[in-house]
Amino acid sequence: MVTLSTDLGMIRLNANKNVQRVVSPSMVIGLGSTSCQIVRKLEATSENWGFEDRKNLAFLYMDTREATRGEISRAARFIPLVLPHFSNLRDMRPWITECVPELKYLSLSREGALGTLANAGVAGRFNYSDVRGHLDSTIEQICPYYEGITYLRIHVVAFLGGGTVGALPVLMAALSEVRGTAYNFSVVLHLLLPQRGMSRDPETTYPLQLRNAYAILQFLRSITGVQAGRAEHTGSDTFTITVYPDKRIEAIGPHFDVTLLHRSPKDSLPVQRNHIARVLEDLVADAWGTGQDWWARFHETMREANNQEDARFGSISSREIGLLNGFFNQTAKQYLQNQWRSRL
Amino acid sequence: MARFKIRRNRPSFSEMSNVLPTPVDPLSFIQATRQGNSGGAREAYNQLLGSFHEVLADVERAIISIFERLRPDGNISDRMAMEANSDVRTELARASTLADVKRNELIAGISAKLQAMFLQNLIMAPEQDPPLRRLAQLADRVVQRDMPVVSEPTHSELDVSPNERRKRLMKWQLEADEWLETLCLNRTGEVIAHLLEEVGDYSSSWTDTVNQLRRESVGGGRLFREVTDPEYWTFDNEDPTVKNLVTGVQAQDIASRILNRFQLSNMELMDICQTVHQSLGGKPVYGSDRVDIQELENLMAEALAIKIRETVAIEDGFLSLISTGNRSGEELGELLVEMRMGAAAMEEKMWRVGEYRLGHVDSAAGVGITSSALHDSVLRGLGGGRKFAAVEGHPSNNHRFEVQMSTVGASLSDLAIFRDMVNAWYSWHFEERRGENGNRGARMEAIRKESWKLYPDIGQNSGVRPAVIELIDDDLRQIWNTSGDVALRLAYGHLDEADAEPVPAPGNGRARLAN
Repeated sequence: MVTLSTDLGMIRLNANKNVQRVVSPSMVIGLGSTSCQIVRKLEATSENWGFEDRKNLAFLYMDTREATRGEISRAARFIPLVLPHFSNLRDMRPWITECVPELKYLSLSREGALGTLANAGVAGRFNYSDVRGHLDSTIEQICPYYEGITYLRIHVVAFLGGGTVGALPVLMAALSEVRGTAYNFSVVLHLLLPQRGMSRDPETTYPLQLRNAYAILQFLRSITGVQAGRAEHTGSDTFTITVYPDKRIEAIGPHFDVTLLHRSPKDSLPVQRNHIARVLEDLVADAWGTGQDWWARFHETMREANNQEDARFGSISSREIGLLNGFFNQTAKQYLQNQWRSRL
Repeated sequence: MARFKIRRNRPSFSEMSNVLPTPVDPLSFIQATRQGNSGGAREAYNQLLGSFHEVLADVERAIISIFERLRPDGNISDRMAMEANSDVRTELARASTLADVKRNELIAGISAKLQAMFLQNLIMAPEQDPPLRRLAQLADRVVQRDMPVVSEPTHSELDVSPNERRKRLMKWQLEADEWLETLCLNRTGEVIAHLLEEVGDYSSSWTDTVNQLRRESVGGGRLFREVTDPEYWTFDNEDPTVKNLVTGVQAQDIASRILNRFQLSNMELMDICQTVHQSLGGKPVYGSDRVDIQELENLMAEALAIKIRETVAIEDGFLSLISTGNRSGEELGELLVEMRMGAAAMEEKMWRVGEYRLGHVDSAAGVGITSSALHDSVLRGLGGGRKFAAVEGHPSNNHRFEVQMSTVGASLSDLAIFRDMVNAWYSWHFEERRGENGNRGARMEAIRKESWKLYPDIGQNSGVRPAVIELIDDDLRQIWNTSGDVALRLAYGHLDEADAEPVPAPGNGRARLAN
């Protein structure tokens, strides 16, 4: 048995540049290291697409890890979710004390306690103007308003178990603000679930990843306006956050259109990267193949699904033709062998 | 004092320019058919020489204009004589540079063309000898001549009677003309010498390569085994969501049918050679440091595979191509059932998540099964109605929190379900309080104390933290009331009557948790 590499750049040799793949301009945002790698993979794949497709695509990378900047293309847009030194954080401005009331009790030695979700969240609030600026300019790039293009899709990729996903609420608020402009866009969330086999330490890290996943999923549930219990605090899809220096953002829903929970079919980072990038590739290409089929079904569902029972939905039938590379290579060898055997 | 002496049989650049061809591709003779006329070598030589003449035509015009300035009947000053000498020298130097560049360009072109021809012949005409023997005749024309001396007449030598000056200028011009032609002849000779060297490498490598390919493609050879053994036709992928339907003997049968109707055009052949050439990254296909035969074979197969693939319409035609035979439909169905069973097993597990309205499972996809109609019919046949993961009903009764899970192929042991997440969240909050007889208020106080670490972006009074806590409270109640789940109760105690009382939500004095 022969095992093939799933390197999309290699296996999709039949990619035809003349095929138009992308109709709706799309921005793909990677939030966190894992997601940035996936988005980078997608960006690399799209480099083989035609110019018309590529000009409809934009990529934005956000991470608390500065090293991510070196792993993406030099021309890519990168927003480092970094904070000033801890000592400079201890002011009484609402943008920080409101969300981290215990900040004044933290010591320098416990700076790490800001940790994971909290660190990314606060960093997101601190860098909010950067986020907005990049969103605006990127949208302007792929949707030139003077050309009359006012509709786009935004794909947000985030690992639910990571720490950087803590900045997701800030990003959602920024998107909500942008949505209030002349542009009309739909947001697709691609959330990667934690997997035990991919945790560095399944006994300790994995439960924390699950905890993060639950926390963020609950946040997403709450901003859909779902009601729970007595519905004293639930039932509204609007939330407010304060960002640096003292600006209050009222994020009005709906915040996203569909969420896709992704899981790597194998406990391997390369497999995860390739698998999610392939699904993303299909969905970004809404004029071609599976993407076209999926979005057609999606719009049909949104139009028809007026209640839960009626909600029918097509699936992402990832049309995987990668394995056919092996088959056609063998066929080519067969051709050569026929030639050489019969003529020599 | 310069010598003005007319020699016979001198090579003349201007005369030769009139008779030599000006080919678009001076190396086209390399790929000319073997059925060419007997004068092939001469034509090849003229093409090469003509390309040098073409390059130096501008220099020749410049030299002519220099001599036109020095009219025999006009006055001539010392400065004019010096300038003319300087200009002629400059033009000759320019000619030398241009000829060198052209020579290098032709040498590089020879290598590229011979590499391409080697590959083309390996694929299309491996049984034929290299059509290069006629080029050996070019060896007779490789003659290196000494560059003639071009006079540098002084003012006194030119400041003579008009007739005498005309003679002297004519001789000077003829010397320059001869110099140019000699330059062309020598550079052409250098190109031919390189060509013959390459042809020698080509011929010797051709014999070795063809012999090796013959051994490998007949019975017992490596390539023979690779294409006849069904095991080589079975591919797997790192991604278990992908099921290959084209394997083994069936794949061999399909390949034979594809090849029966496959015709390679000249344009496609050139594309293949170009692809291989690019893949080699400068490594030659012949010569002493040539690429390994197996690597070359693989590169040719990959490039050829692209062309074969283009002849097969994956979208529509491929399914019909593989669906021949009496049992093809049944076999296809069996494969899809097998795929679906794997997916269904996970779906069953995920529907537990579905109880909490959080997810669904993706479908399976098969290689070659790209027809959405077929896919849908199989799904209907196997799984009944297709229920999608409508997760939460929005207050406006629109589904905005649609969640779909891509989980096919994930091992069951690695499916993190909703309950595991709640457990993890709960454990993190109460790990240090294990065994304590805390009531609901104490537990909520613990949650309130640590929740800023999980929901840092939402203000205490302005955001969704109370809403999130309300949701979590609802989840916990449902899990607690599930008969099958005792892990939480064993670890953290049971909700008592007092727990049913509403508890203030964290960070907001007016908020009360639902019960």
